[in-house]
Amino acid sequence: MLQLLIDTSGPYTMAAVADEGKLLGECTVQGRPAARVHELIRLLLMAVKTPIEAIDLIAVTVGPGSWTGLNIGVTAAKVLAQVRKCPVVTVSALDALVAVHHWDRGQTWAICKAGRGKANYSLYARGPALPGLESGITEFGALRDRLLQDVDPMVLEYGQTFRPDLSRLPAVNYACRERLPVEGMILAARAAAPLHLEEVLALTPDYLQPALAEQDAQTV
Amino acid sequence: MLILGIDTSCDDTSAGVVDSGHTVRSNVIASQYAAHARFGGIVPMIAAREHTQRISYIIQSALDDAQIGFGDLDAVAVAHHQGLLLSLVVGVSAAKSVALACDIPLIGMHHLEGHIYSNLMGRQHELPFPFLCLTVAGGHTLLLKVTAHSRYELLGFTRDDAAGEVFDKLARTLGLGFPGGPAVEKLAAEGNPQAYEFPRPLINQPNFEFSFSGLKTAVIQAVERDPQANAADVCASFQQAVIDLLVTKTIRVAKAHGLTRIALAGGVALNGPLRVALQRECEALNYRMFVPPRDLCMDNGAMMAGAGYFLYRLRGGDPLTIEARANAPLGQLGIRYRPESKYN
Repeated sequence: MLQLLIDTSGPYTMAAVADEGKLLGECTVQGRPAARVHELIRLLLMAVKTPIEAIDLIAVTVGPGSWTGLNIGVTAAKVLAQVRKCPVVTVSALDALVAVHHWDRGQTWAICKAGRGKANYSLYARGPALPGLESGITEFGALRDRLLQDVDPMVLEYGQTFRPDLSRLPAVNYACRERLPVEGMILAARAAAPLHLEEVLALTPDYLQPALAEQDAQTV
Repeated sequence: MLILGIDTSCDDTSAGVVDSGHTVRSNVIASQYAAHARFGGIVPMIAAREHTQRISYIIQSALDDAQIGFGDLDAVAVAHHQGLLLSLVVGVSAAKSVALACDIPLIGMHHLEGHIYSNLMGRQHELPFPFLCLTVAGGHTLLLKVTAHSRYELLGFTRDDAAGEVFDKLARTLGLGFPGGPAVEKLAAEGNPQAYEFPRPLINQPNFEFSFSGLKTAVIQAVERDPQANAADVCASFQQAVIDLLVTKTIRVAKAHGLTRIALAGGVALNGPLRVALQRECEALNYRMFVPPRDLCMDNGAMMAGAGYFLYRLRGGDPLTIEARANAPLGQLGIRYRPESKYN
């Protein structure tokens, strides 16, 4: 089964093609990139000599991450799927980040800034990460207190916003990533259930922060 | 040539199918009024989320209404210039996906060209070049001489607020809800347009510029000074001031440039008293006035598809790398109608 994978959640935009979990090709670009995702897909499909009609499934990150980037990526994926009538699987950026990570000494926390002092987080059990135990959005201070009380946790941050506030963590217990690992996306996509067409048509990014948009409401 | 047009430049998610620039096969518009009403204006982040949620349904509805499938499309046109950036990117992404998946040309459009061309759809032979176009909406107020396809001369513009924006501000001040234009017009129908003597800035100046900020301030101050003021009279007097400004300047430009065909476009073109007043002046001078059907005055996908046909014949399609821009020069001559800093 040929999968097209799309990630526009961060400062890098990525398109990849995989066949039954095996990576066939990947294109990544940095710097104001989300608007380039369609061109990336076109170039990638040419490079792997695969017509778009051959794609069986589209996987797309739905958040957390860049508001504008996610709107572009999710719209790209859902309309491609609508035209080609193929299913979509949604991937959490935090799941993709953690999927290739293995931490045997304790739980893993994947975090990412959500604006206004809040953080998106997902918590994973010791050892193989997926599926996650819980996820949500919370005040970063409360999250920091909670994860610092954890026994030998691993903190993986998407970006590098909160590192200064986590200075009590030993270096070995903290890592940050600016881009999602494509292997992580493939693993996270394989763990997700495909959406039905009706769900695809209604798909929106999972910001985990709709209330924030309304708090910040600036009208034009 | 069947073209799918998409417009998500502001708060309406819209798609339409037009055959060869003239025959509207479908035009589906989903407004977001309910999502923004409690804020009294458009919240860009909410608009973007609503667009993303609805865009697939709207495209599917446009195809269903036109009784075609994706495979029948010959091209896809989209507004990628002028509007709210967070909103534009959704429509652009959707259009690129259609172009990529169907292997058809992508036509990137300036949102204002859609409004201008809404007058030409179905009646190009009635409205030959050149003509004067008053395009007036929530984001712009312009007087353009349309000399050929995608070639414009900027004859008049607003120095500050757009006319439609002032309608929205007054409606917000009076608690009439959003969008303001229809609400103010409805209440104005019950009021006396001579009750208040609101200013008509620049109306006697021998130029073709508009200014609405002084009028806006005067109306809002009148309401704040007298909270018991008759809202219908305020709306009627305000609306009359706007109409006087728009009609006076438009006719002045038409006379100065010898243009006897005047087209009205944009959301404010829905205002009934404005249509009547401009029509009356045109008839007195033996000019011809053109106004699009009501659903082509609003932001809509069909106007993008109609304009897209003519512009595709003129300059071909665009690459998948085109990007949304909140402000962009207009037409082949790159008309700039906002402060230079807006284009950076």
